[in-house]
Amino acid sequence: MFIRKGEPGPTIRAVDVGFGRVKALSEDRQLEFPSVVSSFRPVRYSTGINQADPVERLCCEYAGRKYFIGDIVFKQADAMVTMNAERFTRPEGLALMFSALALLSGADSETLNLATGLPVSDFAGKKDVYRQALLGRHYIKLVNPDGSGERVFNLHVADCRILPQPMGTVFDRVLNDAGELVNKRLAAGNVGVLDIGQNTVDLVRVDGLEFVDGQSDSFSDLGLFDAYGLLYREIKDIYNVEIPPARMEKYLQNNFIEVDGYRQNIAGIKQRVFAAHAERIVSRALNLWRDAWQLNSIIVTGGGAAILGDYISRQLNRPGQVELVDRDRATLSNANGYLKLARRVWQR
Amino acid sequence: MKVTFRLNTARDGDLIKWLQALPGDPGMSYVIRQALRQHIHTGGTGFLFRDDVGQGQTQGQTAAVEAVQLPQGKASAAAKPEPEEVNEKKLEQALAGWTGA
Repeated sequence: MFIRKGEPGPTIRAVDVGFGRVKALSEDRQLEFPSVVSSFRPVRYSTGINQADPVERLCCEYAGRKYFIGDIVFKQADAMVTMNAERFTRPEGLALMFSALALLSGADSETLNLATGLPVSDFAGKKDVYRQALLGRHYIKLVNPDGSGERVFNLHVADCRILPQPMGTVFDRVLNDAGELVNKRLAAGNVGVLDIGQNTVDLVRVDGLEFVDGQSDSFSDLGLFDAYGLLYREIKDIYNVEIPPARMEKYLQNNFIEVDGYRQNIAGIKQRVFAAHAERIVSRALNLWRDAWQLNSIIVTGGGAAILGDYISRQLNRPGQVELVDRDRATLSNANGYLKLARRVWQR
Repeated sequence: MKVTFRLNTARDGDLIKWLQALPGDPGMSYVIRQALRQHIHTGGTGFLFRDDVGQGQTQGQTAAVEAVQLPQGKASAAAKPEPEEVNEKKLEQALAGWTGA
């Protein structure tokens, strides 16, 4: 589509459907919620708490089925389905995507252009199928947890770009907000991206913005939740209490747990487990990037980078190469990159 | 501490392995390695000087490298292009590959 100068461009959206969280951006809004889905059943009684935040009580009907989506799954569902590679093109994966797009939508009917991503290991094999699944008209109904208050959205995806997910971080760093190439040095360089998600770690190698497929991969046993799983076992062994990985974060922030009324410091266990996990990640990365010394930069990003980034930097021990994405940007860096690329594609 | 050595990549193979195999302080090797990597990445012309070498992280020693000479032919072969000098047209082409449908 050709845009004349001064004319508003088409509506663009950037959505990063991770295995842990969905992150979605429009020009003026951002939202994120856990990538979990379950079958819907009306909630008979609600206290009204959190009613102001639609993301916290997200329920939808998509392709003839009703779902709880995101945070509400943890409170109301008996069983849940987490995101995995097979689910991107299935109704539950698309329900996650279009719930996010509906929440970002300013109107009941909207035509939009979408930039999104796939895990590295699925990119080559699934990008065309995924693109076809996303393009076209989609109807999604957002409902209240008690089943009332339906609002139907008619979303038309007119065009779509799909990237290997960590490429979003590369574009976030080489493009400015208008989608112009500003960091030419990084763009021209030989760059490795270590994207630490909640359930997976994606590694991408890029040379002069060319994706190096043979040195890019995804690992489903190295994510942040795997580190939490190790912590769970350590804490259970020592204190005989069970803290599910999904609820681990607040204890880690405080560095203590309360057992039988006594505070127990878990900082030492945390450091030991995280250092060991970081070593596993780095070992896998260096196995994939045998000539890592040739990389101009190794960018450590993703939601897990905020927790494990410092440990990984220490393990890599390459201070001249490692760039740790700021904590407050790491979770959204792929989605930010998609949005910048979208502006370059559709708004220049 | 002064170190003077001459690299011969044809004889010694991979630069990094060769440096790692240097006898003595591993921190020393780290410092030289960092300087060389930087030098190669910035398209150096064959010589490293004292000021090119910074503080070593592992041992905390500063290595003064007095004119490390890279063999001419190998130096140019090993030198990676300075990213800023990379053809912008090529970058735009690579970007177009991502922005195209």
